Amino acid sequence: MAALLQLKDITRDFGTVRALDGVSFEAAAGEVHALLGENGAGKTTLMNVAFGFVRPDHGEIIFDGRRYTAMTPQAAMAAGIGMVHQHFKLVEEFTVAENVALGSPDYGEALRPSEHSRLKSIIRDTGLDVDPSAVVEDLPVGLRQRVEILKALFRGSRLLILDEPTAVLTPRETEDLFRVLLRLREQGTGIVLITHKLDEALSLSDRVTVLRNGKTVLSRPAAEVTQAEVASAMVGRELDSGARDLPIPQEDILLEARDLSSPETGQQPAQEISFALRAGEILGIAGVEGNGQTALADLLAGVLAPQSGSLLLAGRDVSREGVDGRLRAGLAHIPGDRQTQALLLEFPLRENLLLGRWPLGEFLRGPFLDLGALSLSTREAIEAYGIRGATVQTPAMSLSGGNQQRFVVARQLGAKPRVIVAVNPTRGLDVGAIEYVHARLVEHCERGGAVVLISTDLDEVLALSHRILVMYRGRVAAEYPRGARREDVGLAMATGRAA
Amino acid sequence: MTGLEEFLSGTIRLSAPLILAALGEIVSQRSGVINISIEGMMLGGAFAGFAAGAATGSAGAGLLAAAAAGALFGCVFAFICVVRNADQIVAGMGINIAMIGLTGALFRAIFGMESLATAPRLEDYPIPVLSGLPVVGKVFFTQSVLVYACGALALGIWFFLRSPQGLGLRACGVRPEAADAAGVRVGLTRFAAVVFGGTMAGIAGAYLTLAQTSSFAENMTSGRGFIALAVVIFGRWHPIGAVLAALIFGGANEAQFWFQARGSQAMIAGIHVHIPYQALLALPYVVTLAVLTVFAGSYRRGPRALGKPYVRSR
Repeated sequence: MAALLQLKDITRDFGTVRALDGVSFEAAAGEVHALLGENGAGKTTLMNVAFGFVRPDHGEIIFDGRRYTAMTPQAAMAAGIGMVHQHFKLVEEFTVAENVALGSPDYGEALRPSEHSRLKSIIRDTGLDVDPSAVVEDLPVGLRQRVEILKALFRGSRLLILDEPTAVLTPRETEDLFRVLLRLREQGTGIVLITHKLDEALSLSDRVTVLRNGKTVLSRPAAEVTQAEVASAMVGRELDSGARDLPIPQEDILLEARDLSSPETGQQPAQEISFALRAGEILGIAGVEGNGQTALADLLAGVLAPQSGSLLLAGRDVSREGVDGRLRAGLAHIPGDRQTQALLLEFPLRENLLLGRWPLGEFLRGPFLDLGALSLSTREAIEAYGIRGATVQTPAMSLSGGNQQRFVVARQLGAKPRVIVAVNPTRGLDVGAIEYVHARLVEHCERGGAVVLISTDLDEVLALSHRILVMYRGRVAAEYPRGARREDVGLAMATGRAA
Repeated sequence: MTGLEEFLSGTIRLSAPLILAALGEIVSQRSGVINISIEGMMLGGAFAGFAAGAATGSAGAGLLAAAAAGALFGCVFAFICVVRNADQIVAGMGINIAMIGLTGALFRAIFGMESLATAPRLEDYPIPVLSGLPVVGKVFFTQSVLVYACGALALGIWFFLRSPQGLGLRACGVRPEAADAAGVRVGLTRFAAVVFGGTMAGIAGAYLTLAQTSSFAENMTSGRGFIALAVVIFGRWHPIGAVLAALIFGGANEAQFWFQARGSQAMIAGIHVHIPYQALLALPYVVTLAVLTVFAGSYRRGPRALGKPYVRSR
């Protein structure tokens, strides 16, 4: 099929980092082209070049036979390129129709309330069901995404670029989206799907391109490649598959919860939680989101003081200790929301390294911070954890999500804790980063540490835990040993009863 | 004129500069730029209008000069805050302070220390037929052209905000990144909005020197620009709302004159009370404070991206 969009030999530097290094890319009409790669591989940057948000240092853009030296978003939209960004670009205060009208040459038509308006007929033809008069802030995420797609289609986009469209969707919404995309493909629209989820890329696309470190490493028809091939192309080496070999737990108990209950905080409280965690053991806490895991994590980390019950760390009662006291005693916490709980996004990495590091001893010189030692430690973490493109002065917010999490894990492990409480430690990360975080947690156990892994990702819990507790409505509903069947645990998560 | 006609007519006269400045500020703020230097820009406009009027002998020329000066101040502010992305509050404070010094110094340099210089007045223009109507004729239709402009501009801005360009401008004020992605030129839109706001502030200033009085005094705006900012908030960033809000402040001001003119003796519960005139002078400001305290908290917040520079990220 004829190429709609051709990117030729695109190169772009950001400061000292070469984000794109001579990348060529083609997208055809009536075809879904998946663009894969790890966080920071250059996928989004490449598509921002096509859409005119980023100007390439070198290379050319050809769309529909026309050559563009300097693409702008205005020119891209006028030519027929539409982009759905990962973070939606919608005005929440406006209605759906107003958002579609915004900046469109066909303003009046978008706002026409008639059933025969072009907006209404696009909605009917594509199955992008959403009420044009609804205010965007009242809509759930899945519908907001539809508004973004409608915006692009209303302007006559023949090429639709979607940046990580499923990252924010529930499985149900994802299915709906794919149905719409397949219908658009039938109607002749070209689709570029930026993603790091392998299975959806392969199931939906006609063609797969993989970027790594700003270079194309694979570009073939989807039917000709396997998941394993694509995965190793993404990370540049063979990946461990399936369950890991876990170390054998020792006898001594590192962490013991006795009938721990959380106070009322407005969220689902955790009630009468008891468990004993041995050195070298990973305890998985599974459950559907909102069944008391957050409260349990806060209880363990010391963010919340228990309403009743007690927590023993290596035999010592730490129930009344706060976060700092527990850190000193050897309990570190990888929070579930890294952007609000784990990092000061505006601050450089060097300052972020201090967060949650008690005692500060090694970073103090007299009463002052020892910036030299701090920089050294930060640099070590950046290197050891492969945080690409970062220096000690880089603000946390300019790292990708995966690199932010690598940094948080590096920092918490750097405090040499005995027990780690990790909450959804790999949420939103790509395969390479997930493997990395998992390997670090297992390594921690091999050295005699222990981990409480609280995760809503059942596959992660199954792959990584010695034992699994299922939480349901704030209580432990069931316990499974390693090797339990996925279906059984899933049923307990959904019903609160052991199969 | 009856007492009521006098009071209402005076209220409108005193509200007009607030309305002019507030309408410009609404456009600026709806685009996402908070321009607290309308106080200084009004003062600059008042001086420019006065000086040009005195020099040429034409009030119209004074008005044009004031508008041009306001546009120029707007360009300066927009360059600092929209092009260079500086902090809008800091830049606004800077311009306010600079304007007091600049107009004061120029006034003394040109017109001397004990100046009695006057500029030509922008005379009232009674609208034929309508001005003959009972009560409303005197109150609404025997006014300066700038008062009529207030009404026309309020309606015009109301309609503008509903137009394609107005939608784009409002989008810049709440989600500039969304506006940018939709093809709206955020920088250009905000620049134009600020220049419009500056022009309106300049004209509002000229109203003080050309329509209300025909003289200039140092720092003669004495906080009217800040009251206009309060008017924008109290009027909920809506042009018609701002007109109504400005009328309340104008009414408070007129009441103050009214009490002063009728002596500051009052009978309260049969006792003669002497109200010091300083207390009366403070009335408009007390009303500002009271209104903001009572209403600001319970009201919807302003445009979400207000005061935030927009820098396109990669």
